[in-house]
Amino acid sequence: MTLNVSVMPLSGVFDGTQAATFRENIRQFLESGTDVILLDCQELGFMDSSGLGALISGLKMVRAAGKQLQLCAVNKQVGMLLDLTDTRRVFKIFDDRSAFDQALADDFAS
Amino acid sequence: MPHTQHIHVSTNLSELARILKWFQSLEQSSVTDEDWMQCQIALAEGFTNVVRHAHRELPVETPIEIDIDFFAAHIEMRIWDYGPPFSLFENLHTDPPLIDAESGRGLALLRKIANEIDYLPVNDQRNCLLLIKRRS
Repeated sequence: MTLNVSVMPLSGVFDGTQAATFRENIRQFLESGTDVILLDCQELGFMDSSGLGALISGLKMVRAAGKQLQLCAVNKQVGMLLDLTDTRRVFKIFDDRSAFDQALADDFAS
Repeated sequence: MPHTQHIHVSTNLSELARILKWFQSLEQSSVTDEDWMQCQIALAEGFTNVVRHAHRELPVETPIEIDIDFFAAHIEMRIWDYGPPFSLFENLHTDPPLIDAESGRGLALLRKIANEIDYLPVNDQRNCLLLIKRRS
């Protein structure tokens, strides 16, 4: 059995103005049978608390569907936001895309 | 000598990108990365709070003024709005949001980042949110 993985890149400023589109994208991924959604934050410059609220909303949608939402390549500012709001522990975060791919390969092999 | 840096924007969430660009352009090599990013977050949260709450009923043209001063031992940030007086403090002392809350973290962040926080009416029908952050 293989996992159906979808990658959603986040870029620029991620705030409340993107929340509705973000949730809609998550909804579509779930509908299309995605098992794991990876939010690739490589090009993400800044996130505010409304952006974080959207992420948590997305995480809840994904969990309610019995699927997984994971993050990679989170910059220092986003890391700081997660720490200041004490929300880092609700997310599974990989250092970068290759660490995510490796973990997926390891899971598949085991 | 400290020199006040200033920007004014309209009541529109999309102005956040311009505020961040402006903040990025302030060259303050003496400020640590951590202090810098915390101020960046505080400015963003202070601004979006005005748009979402204090200016909720006001037209998009309503200006929001932002000042920042870098002192040797601390950083002062001021955000002026035209909202009803004390609209911020109604929420400033509420409990921190639950871990899976989807909103309501802005003020908790301001409290965490700023060593001193004040919100006062000023004499031209505006309010001023003052955030003072000691340098680490």
